Amino acid sequence: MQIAAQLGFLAFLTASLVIGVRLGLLARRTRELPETAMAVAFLCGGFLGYGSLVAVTVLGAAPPAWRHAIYLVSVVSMATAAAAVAVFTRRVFRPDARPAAVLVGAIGCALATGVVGSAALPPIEPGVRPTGAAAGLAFWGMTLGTGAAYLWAAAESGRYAGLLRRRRPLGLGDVRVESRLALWCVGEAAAGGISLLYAGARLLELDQRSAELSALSSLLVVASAAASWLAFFPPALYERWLVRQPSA
Amino acid sequence: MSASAASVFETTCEELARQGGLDGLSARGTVRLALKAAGLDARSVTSGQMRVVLEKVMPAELAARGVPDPGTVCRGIAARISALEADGARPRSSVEDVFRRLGGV
Repeated sequence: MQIAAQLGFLAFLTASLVIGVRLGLLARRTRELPETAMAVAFLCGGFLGYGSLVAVTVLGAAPPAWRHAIYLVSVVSMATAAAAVAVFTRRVFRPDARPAAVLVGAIGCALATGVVGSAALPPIEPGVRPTGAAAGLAFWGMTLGTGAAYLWAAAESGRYAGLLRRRRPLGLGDVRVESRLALWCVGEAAAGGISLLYAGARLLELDQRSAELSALSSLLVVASAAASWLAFFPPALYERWLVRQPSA
Repeated sequence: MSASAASVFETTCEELARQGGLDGLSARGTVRLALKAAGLDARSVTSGQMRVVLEKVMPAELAARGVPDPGTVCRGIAARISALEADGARPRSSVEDVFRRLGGV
């Protein structure tokens, strides 16, 4: 179980780094906001944030004197990534909608609360769950902020993939773009599902370090990595299968 | 609503009311239903997409509402929509544009 979790962790880190670098190179060329936001999300959230969080809180890989600083770097990175996902979603799917701007602001406030709570925590010990008001702020700020950002992205991309599917019989859809949106939906839903999982465990007062929860969380991490990889690096075989799909 | 999408939608509704003999409210509802069936939105539809809707979706919608000779009505509206293309401003990147670019296709 632990080996599978570590393999999933490595797969997620690798996918986030490669996709983030690729989107960063694209953003450098186009100077457009969507690819810049996505590059930030993959590099800050998937690679730097998630990687350093697991290294400190699960693996205990950092020297004790550095643990808290690295933990804070991971929290700030993950908050930045979730904010970038929210900005991307608003810019791409709801550029003129005021409620979407309000939602981006609310997500930003939740994430800022999580960062402030995390900064106020006592030094991190691997395997020890922090308690107290600061711990509550840190947990709920980050969980609600990241969960809302990723689930919103999943909902918008899933809805749009459905619209493109309806356009296909009229010759107006692009099956590769439709597939990328659907995979993006799966990847973001899996990422948001991790937040839901831990929020549920906290509300039900379950052990957040149990093997079952870790296994479920690892499954979601792997699903998110696989969907993102397939969306941005579709194998030729998959692309050939896609274009053979019937139009209705 | 972008200027070009707004004018495509509004022109289609006005022309449908004029050429199809529907009242304004019915014309707008009919166009919205046809767009919805095609997976399109009045806020972002382009003239090219609207022409496809007029060719493949709208005739059946008009026939269901008892509009005589729906094919001719739709062709007349499509011709009016085509004229908008010349002065229509290019809308900002659509969702498809962004996701096509992100995948490098």
